[in-house]
Amino acid sequence: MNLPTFTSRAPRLAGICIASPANHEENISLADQFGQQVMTDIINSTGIQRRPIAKTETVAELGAMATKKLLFSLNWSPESIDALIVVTQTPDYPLPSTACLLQNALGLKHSTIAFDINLGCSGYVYGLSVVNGLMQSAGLKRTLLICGDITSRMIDLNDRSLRPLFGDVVAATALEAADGPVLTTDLGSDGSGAPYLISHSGGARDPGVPRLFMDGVQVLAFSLKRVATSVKAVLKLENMNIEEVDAVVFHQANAMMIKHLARKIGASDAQLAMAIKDFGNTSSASIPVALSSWLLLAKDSKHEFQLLMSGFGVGWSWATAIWKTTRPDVIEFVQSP
Amino acid sequence: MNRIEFIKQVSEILEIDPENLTGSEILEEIGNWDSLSIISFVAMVDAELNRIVSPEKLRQAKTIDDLANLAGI
Repeated sequence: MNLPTFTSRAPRLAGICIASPANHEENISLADQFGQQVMTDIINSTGIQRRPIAKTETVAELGAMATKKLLFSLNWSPESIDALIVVTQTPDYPLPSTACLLQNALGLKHSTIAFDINLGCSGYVYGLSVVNGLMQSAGLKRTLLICGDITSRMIDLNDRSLRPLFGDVVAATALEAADGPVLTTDLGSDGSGAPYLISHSGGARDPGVPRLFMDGVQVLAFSLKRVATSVKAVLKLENMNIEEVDAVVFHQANAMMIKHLARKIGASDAQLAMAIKDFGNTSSASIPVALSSWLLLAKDSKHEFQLLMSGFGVGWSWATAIWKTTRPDVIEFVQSP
Repeated sequence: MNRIEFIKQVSEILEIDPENLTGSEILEEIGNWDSLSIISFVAMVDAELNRIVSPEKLRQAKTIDDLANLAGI
């Protein structure tokens, strides 16, 4: 068993709101630029047909849209929020944190705990674990986890390997203290993978425009090495078999990899959450997007869920969790005008 | 998985006829050995042989025989 793998009380999933730009790019429309056969092969392999692409929207703007809608639908006052954590690698500004911008934009109280986490693919589960830690240690009642990136701004339009993959989305998740829910988590990191999914520019070493580079083969080899082991660790700690899990929600990198990992851990098609067709790889928002899509199709009569989530990638960083929680009150998708 | 089955899987990835393949065929000259094929190959070896091919060694592979060696066939 790799440490840290741990289990604790957890909040309930109260609601999710997914905000995306109305503007979309169809992958087949890139055939003129990159070739018909090439784009057909990419669409078939990745499962990505279209992706929301921001024109001017930022993480703070989409985050505010998602959160306002979510708070309204849940009938939660801004004053009732105890913490707001943002997971993003494309903040509105290098500083201050996007969480502080949102605290102000949403009119949250000044005692709100607010900060950013700089993670991508593993960010939702890492974020959930961090927020849960705060909730348990500080006795917080209601918190918000905001995850997502405007990855398109880091991608060269002539980059055939990256442009068809990424979508711009921000997901707001509302968490509420409750008796009953449990979160069992396995977290990990391996910084030797940094060169394979990176923007060399846009930081202190080179202050230019951020430009994403990805070595897809290295990403796959890393995923094959780490994900199944991480999943087994949480199942073992929970004394569960994969069959007992309701939803298997992987970070949505590409359909081929998701299906391969599902087979590797013995998950069935019915368990597997897939939302990549219309969104692409949405970084830390991909797990809440896929989870929302899966929950909308779950039987109305089912009230309690055992959700297996695993995010893995940039860092290298990985985070897997089994979340035993109840049906959320709200699941919504909104688009910017 | 034996060599014949391995060659069949590789030929499907490369979209070529498996008949008459000797293993000495040069991947670059086949034409379909691109990033998607490479990823499919890594996934296939993991699925069929429970083995993760090193990306660094894979980059040095020149022939189908080199791929077989990496897969442990």
